Amino acid sequence: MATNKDKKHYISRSESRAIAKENSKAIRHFEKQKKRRAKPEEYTTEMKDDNNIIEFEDLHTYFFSDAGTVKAVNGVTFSIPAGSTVGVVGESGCGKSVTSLSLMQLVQAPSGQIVSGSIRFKASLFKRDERGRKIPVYETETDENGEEKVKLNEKGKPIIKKNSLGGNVYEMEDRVVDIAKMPTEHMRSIRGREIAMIFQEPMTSLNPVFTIGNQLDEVGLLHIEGISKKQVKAHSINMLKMVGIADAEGVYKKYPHELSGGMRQRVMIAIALLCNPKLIIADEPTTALDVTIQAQILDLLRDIKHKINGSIMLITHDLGVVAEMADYVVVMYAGRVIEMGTAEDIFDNPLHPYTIGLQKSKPTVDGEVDKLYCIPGFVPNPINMPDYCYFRDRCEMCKEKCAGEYPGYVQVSPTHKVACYLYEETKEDGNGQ
Amino acid sequence: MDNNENVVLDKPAAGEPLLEVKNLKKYFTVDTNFFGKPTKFLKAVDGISFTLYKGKTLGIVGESGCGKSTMGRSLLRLYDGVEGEVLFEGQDVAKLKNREFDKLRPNMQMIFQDPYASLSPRLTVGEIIGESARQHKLVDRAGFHDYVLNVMNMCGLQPHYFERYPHEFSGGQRQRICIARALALKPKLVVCDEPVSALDVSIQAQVINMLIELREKLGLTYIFISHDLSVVKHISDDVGVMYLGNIVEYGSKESIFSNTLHPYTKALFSAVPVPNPHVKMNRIMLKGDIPSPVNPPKGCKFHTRCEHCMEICGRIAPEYKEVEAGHFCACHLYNSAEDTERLLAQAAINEEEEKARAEKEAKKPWNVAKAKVVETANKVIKKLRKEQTVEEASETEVKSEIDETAQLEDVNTDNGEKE
Repeated sequence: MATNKDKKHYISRSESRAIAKENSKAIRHFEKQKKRRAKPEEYTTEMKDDNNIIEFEDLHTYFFSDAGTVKAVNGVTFSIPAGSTVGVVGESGCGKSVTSLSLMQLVQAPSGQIVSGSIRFKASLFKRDERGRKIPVYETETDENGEEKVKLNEKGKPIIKKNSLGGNVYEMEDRVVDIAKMPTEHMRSIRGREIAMIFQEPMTSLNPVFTIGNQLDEVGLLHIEGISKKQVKAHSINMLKMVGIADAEGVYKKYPHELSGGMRQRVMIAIALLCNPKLIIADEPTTALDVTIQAQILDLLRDIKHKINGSIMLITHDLGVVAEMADYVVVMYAGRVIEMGTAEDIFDNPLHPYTIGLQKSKPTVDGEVDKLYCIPGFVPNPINMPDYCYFRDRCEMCKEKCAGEYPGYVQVSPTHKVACYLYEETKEDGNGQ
Repeated sequence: MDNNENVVLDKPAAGEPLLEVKNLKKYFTVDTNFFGKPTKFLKAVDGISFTLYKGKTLGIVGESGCGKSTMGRSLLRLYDGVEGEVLFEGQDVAKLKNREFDKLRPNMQMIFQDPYASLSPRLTVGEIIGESARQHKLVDRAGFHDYVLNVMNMCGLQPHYFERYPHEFSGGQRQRICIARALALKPKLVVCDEPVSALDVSIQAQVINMLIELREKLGLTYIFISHDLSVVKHISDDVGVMYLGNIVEYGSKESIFSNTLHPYTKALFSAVPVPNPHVKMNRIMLKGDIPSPVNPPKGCKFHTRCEHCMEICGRIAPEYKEVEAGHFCACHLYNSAEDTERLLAQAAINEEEEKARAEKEAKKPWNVAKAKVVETANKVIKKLRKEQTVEEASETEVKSEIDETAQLEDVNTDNGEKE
């Protein structure tokens, strides 16, 4: 029999104590960072490309577990151009969900923390005065002298301007913020209002003890200040109609368990759309649904993207869904982006051995193969990641150079990037000739 | 490796029917009346017939809730109260006594959907795989270890896994353990209930390849239940498409995929996303959700979502018949003129009978009393509603009047100030 020490994952008591000590130190540091009082100038940055709405740069999100640090996201760099759909593909555990949760600052704290890197987002935030209050826009009228004057109500107080929904209008400013450095307090004005998320399982992400209407109204009342309950209800019902629910008033009064899976996912989308977000993160929106319902929901998402003129970050493991929806595709493996490009790049000319393997291992309805290709081996243990290319042990095309450090990105075409040594050399050869 | 041959059973000759299913029905009771008599049923499986030949694989596809898992489980007698006949090598499974059925049990095994839930966390892998073989006395105590290792070897599990527990394995490995457990009894028929839907794409390919390999090697017969059409197409010889408890289309894989007949199958196939950005699918969008199997639509169950819906579809259910050789379909689109006439006549008779029954039922004293109560209640409600609307209307009138007067006053005060 093997003793404990021969086991690969064995941790002695002193080791585990050391890990726990280090973890609590790290966690305390990051939690303090999140709770600090910061001025907006502290986390204001500049976009690299003005067409992008989101830029991830070298993002690291770690989970400080008792067995060691899990590097769930380990240096992710990509960007989402405004008005486009970006598909993030990968197997379970590759860090695609954690990337999106980092963007929302919703990573399971305290163990999960954004350690370094930046997430730049072009947000339109409330303008604030010296005391941190929002500056309202007042209703004006021109008096007989032709001068503009602030309209006053019976009590002599100025009337705040209302928007079409009935909410107060405040002075806004466009500001590029770094979400990775933002304190949680300030994140609340972005989360749900500027960036909305559709979760994977509509059954578990809707609250079973509140009606659908209750859950929709909550978002509206929270983010649209000065709106009355009646106006919120009207807006919520409008949103339910927009996502293709025929009996919107009826559904408004129902509880989540009374709806089918497809309807629940529609409600989730309605909640996400309530504040007119610039970016919708759809985290496996159709995995729990049937094909026929999946087709309906994808159609709806595409429709809605045009209606609100926003962008979608679509996280999925289904290559078919990505091919259908996405303009740009990002392939992730073990916490890193291994290949990215336009949908045509990735599907017509996949370069990374993992991407190729992934596409060959899925049977298609219109194609016929005798034997499916299967990628040998397993994903490496996330606690002890190797220094070399993470895919090397499963790769059939690996070379001597692959034993070296992790490969950098090779720009194959203006839109297509891959992290593999195979293409670095072919490119050099091409240059040499 | 010598022992390995012991595990391989004699390949059954293809062409003999292994399993014949005739009009299989499984109703779940949803509601009972005061005396405990069931009054409301969920018709999970509502009359299914097919024949499965040895060495073939039957793929069953359908949306969730269409009864495909219930069908798989009723075939193995995992439910009580199953109507219809299930003939396994000529023996009616339902009519056997428990002790007799125990002898038949090793021949039919099942692989369950969720490899995380279907393995006992307290048993080692060796125990899990070998337990049933020991129970059915396929192996004595001395040969137990070797026997289990053989089965594990066949399923790509390493020998040192014998002592380990299921929680130490990933999803793909667990599914291999499930497959090994099913194969340890040298079955003839294996019902695979969504064996790969909980796995990642790259692991899916490994498991599917292994299932196909084992089929060739051991001459197994599979019933492969899945909602993933591409997987079903890859592994099956015959395909059955289910909708709300019925098979709506059944035939060989080639005929179904090249010459799709039923509108539901067409819609299902067109909804599968293709991993190619250049292909623009001609989607047939189905409206709405799958209806509740407690109250399935009258007539053809699919007519509420069908784009070819005709008048007859809402009146009588279509017959399940052979449209081409070996290709069955249940749809009114493929009726001949005579059939349509006959069915319409039948529908008229049925409707009349139903009407008569309803009238008879309504005349029963308790129903008459009930109707009266409902009527009076409706009247009261109507009256109350009317009053309410009148009140509201008057309120709004009053309000607008008040507004007007307020405006007038405003104007007056403004004038006063000016003066």
